[in-house]
Amino acid sequence: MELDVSGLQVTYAGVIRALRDIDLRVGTGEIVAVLGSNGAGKTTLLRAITGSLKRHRARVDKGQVTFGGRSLVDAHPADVVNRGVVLVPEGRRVFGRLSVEENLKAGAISVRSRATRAERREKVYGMFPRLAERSGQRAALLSGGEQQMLAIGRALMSGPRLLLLDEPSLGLAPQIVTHIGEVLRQINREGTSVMLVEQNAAMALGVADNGYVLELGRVELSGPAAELAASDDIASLYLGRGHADGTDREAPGKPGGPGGPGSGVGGSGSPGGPKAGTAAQQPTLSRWTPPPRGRFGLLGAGAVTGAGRP
Amino acid sequence: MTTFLSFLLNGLSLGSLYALIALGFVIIYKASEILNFAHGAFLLLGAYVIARVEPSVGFAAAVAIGIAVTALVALASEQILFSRVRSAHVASLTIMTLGLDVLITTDLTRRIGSSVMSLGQPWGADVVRLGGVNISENRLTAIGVAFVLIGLLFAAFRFTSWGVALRAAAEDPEAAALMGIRQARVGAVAWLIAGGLAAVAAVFLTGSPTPGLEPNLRTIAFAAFPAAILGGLDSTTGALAGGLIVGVAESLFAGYSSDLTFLGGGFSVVVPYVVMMLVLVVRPAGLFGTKELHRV
Repeated sequence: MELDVSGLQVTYAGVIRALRDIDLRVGTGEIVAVLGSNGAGKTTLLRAITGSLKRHRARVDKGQVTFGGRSLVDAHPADVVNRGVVLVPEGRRVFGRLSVEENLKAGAISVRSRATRAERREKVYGMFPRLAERSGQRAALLSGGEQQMLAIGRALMSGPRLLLLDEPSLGLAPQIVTHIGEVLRQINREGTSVMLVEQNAAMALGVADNGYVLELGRVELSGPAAELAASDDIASLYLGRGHADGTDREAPGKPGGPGGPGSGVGGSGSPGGPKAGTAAQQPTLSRWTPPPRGRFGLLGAGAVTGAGRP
Repeated sequence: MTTFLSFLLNGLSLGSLYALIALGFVIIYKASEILNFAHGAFLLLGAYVIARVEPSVGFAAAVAIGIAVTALVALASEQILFSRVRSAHVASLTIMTLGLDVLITTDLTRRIGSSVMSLGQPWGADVVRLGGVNISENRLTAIGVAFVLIGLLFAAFRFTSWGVALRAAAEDPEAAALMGIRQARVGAVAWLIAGGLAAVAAVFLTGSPTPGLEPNLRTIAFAAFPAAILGGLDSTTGALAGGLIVGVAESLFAGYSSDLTFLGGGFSVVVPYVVMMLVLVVRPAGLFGTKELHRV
């Protein structure tokens, strides 16, 4: 079973084109990393795969998304889960008022057999012993790292053949991010393909076989993860400050793509942060300084100097 | 003291019936974010169906038919009216329930006319003496039945897939959908159950000491709305607590009305609303409600 996205074009509210001509493939048993800054279209891509576009008033204009040869376009989210594709959403989205155990039960709603549910639950508890210890607690009381474990465990309850993750490292401490990377490798060894959407390129490319870089709704780079990790663009833009970035990010909330180059940049929390002048040599990430349209944004940081008008 | 106990017991009975109605109201709200103001009409419908078929099929069968019909009408209104226009604003959907309420009530009022219909409860107007306290058998049975049903419902919330799915979808509809939860299905079951509970409550609300089924049954059932709201609109525990509080308060004010003449006659009718307002002033989200009722 492989995921195949070809020529995908998605538009929000009929006017805002979020993805254009995306080609992407997750082969059976692979781990694929999808990198990109905010507004690159990563979440939209996941929505297109999971049948959630409609909820966000978006639709597929062109192209195809297939899993195991069958189209996922316009499928109901529950049907997508039934076919073996499940998403760990951004920001974890665990059910805070439900206990840990009930969260797992909610993840297994598509599973008929009680025995299968029990077996998967034990497996999740085996993978994350912390969850077993806190099985009766409300999920809202868990720490961020534990919630991410729960979100992953909840998704595994449906027995996916392809696990999608939307920025699982967001706002988590470095050693927990490392742990998540190990967990993903383990899940993959047991036969589940993984598509990992991340801003934390160090972790993502560390575990992935192949990688894609999205920028402004297009695939700008793709190839074996090792090659991407070795490439200069990725190294300077994603890996140079990759680790610190994961924690930095939470503070200003969601800057939402076109926030304007000048607005709120200073609030990012980086001490004495690189201002317009220095941005040229050390762009932290293009999300704070949206790249000029139409160019390969990752490389476009040089143009920011011009954009930081008085 | 015995009069107080009597008022209290009667209040608990009334309150457990309010709780049944309020629970239906709350699970519909949780499942579909609609305030179902047609709930009183469902109640009236249940009572009417039972009263009509009871002479020919007997009480037990009539109750079963009444519950089934009410549950199906609730389900049908959800399927035909509300689930189709899911994209409409929640306020519009709520107004639609008001329209449905007027429609059903007007028709049933016309059918019932000025008569007082009997549902043929086999316990009739019998009175039981419990340790010096008199209570109608109807009211006593109501407590038992209501608490069994509420217990079952609470167990269902906790242990069944439907219950977990309902709570998950109420908290985060998108994440729930991503886990494979079909909100439409969860909602349909919620409307079915709510309709059935309304019919059960109708059996006891039309029994002794009430003479029988009159169109104003709907107004009586309306007291369950403030019960649901003061408990916290999205909390089932709140619906139970709110129902009991409103029931007991109403019963006590009615019982001691002769000592409370300065409040005017019939103050007990407005007590549910007064209690609700007092609670909301102190706790805007209700007793057990979650703080943020506005979900994104």
